[in-house]
Amino acid sequence: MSEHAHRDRALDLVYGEVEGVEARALRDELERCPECAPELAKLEGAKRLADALPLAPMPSTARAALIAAARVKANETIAALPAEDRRAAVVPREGWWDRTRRFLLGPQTAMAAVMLLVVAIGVMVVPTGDELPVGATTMRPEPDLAPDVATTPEADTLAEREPTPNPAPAQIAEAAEPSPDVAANGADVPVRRVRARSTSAGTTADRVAANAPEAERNVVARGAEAQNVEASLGDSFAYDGVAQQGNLGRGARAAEPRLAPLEEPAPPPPTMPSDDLDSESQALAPAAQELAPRALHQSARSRANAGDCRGAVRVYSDLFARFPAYSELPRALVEAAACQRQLGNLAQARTLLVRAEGYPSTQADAQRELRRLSTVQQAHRRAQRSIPAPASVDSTPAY
Amino acid sequence: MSTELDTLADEALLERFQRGDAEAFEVLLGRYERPLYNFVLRSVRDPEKAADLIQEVFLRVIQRSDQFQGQSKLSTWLYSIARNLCIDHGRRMVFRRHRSLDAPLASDEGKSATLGDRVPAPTPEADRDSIARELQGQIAAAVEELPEDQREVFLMRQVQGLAFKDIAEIVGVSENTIKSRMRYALERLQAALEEYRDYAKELG
Repeated sequence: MSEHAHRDRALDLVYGEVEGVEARALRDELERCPECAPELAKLEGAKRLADALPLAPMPSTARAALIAAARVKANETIAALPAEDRRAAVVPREGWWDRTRRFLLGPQTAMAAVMLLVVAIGVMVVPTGDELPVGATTMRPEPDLAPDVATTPEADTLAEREPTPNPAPAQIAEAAEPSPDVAANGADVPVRRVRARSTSAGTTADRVAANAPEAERNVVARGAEAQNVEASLGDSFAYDGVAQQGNLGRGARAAEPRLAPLEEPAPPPPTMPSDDLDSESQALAPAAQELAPRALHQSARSRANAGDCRGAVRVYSDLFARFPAYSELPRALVEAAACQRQLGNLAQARTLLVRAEGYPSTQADAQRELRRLSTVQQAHRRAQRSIPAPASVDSTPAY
Repeated sequence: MSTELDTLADEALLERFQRGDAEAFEVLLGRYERPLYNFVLRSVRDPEKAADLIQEVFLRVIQRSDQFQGQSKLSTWLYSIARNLCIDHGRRMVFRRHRSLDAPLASDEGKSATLGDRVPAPTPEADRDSIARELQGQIAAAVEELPEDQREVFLMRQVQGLAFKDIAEIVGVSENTIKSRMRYALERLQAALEEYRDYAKELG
């Protein structure tokens, strides 16, 4: 074997180009050879030194731009396919677990959970006729639902006052001021049940529920329940991508006021007293009205978290179209923009971010995302420009 | 989410990307971004230019993925693109001399600081171990001092782990020539790092 052949074989051995039995045999052969053994040791020493060569990571901005460009290209590819092929391009990787998970995280499940909780709360909270304040009209409840109330003397007293079918405004106003005995005993019981499940809305819910007729009380119960549901869903459905950037994470979200300030406060219900309850009651009714948009919002977030950006964008679009006055619309705009960016729909993402930029609460986030988007778009434009330009060396040889 | 994709070969991933699966491209990017970036970085010696060129490499893959026929390895194709872009860049920059990544910075930036120091080290342990860091700087400088034909072979073999015959295909010379260049590169490195020989033995 020539000297070069030995050296080349030593190089093969050092860099693992021969393996197993062949490698062991070659090592034995080289180590027995007086000329080859030093060569092998020298190469192994050099290789150990070379292994310490530091490797720098690729800049993250370059990575983000490349991923965005790849998504744009993938979208173009899928869009160019016939409908059948398009479905086939997406479906194969989705197994039974993915389908089940998608179903469980879908809006139907969230809505069903909300409805079940509302019904359950309704069944447990709706008071007996004996508990109701003067002026309230309701169906007589099952005795076993509130035995403690039915047996209290104060409740009996209230029951005597119940028959007034259509209370006059004066009576309603009077009912709004709870008598000391009612506040201290009978009528307080169902309110406490609400409080036990909803500490966040306790004060407002208590006060309004104790004074309002049944219709208002149902609104209160739903409002409190909506907040409970939101609180229970909020953490599990936190939208990762934007939560980190927009301080919507677990801690930040818990610190948010439960009742968002209203842009257009609704007039107070006619049966409400106009004193210090005004502000709270004004906040509650819209909170109940926000059940649907909040459910849609949560649904969109859960889809985004599950990686279903396309589905999330559909739900976000529905949310924007149906509930333009939704209190968390700015945040939803930023989240929807993140989904569009991930899908490679950069123009749509920009439109959403420009809208979000108009709201003070999301202005900073929107501006940051817009800058990020510009980087991605520049990379994409550079890629498109680079294609037709002939290189002096054939930079992309056909392989 | 990408567990299934992680098990696929490069060529299968590219095929999936050709069918519109962007995640497959992300997996590919994860496999090649660091070694390819370092290949380009050590060739052009300018982190900003290297970032531009590495984007260019992958953007060409994105835009021209349908040109890959599967007749050779994807790594061969990627390195061919990267190498050609580096050669083009070198021709354009022929009259411009770049500072070495390990050349001292301006005096106000500290006497011992080098451009290479600004490149993050691969592990925190390396930062704590001054000898290891010094060695890394010396190795990087020695690699930059290698002749172009030896350096590219060294980086493809050492950093990416390409087989000698694949490197031969990329560079367009025989496998024996590639091995000779690699051997010369290792000998130069060893000579440049003679004072670290004992340390290298401890590494082994």
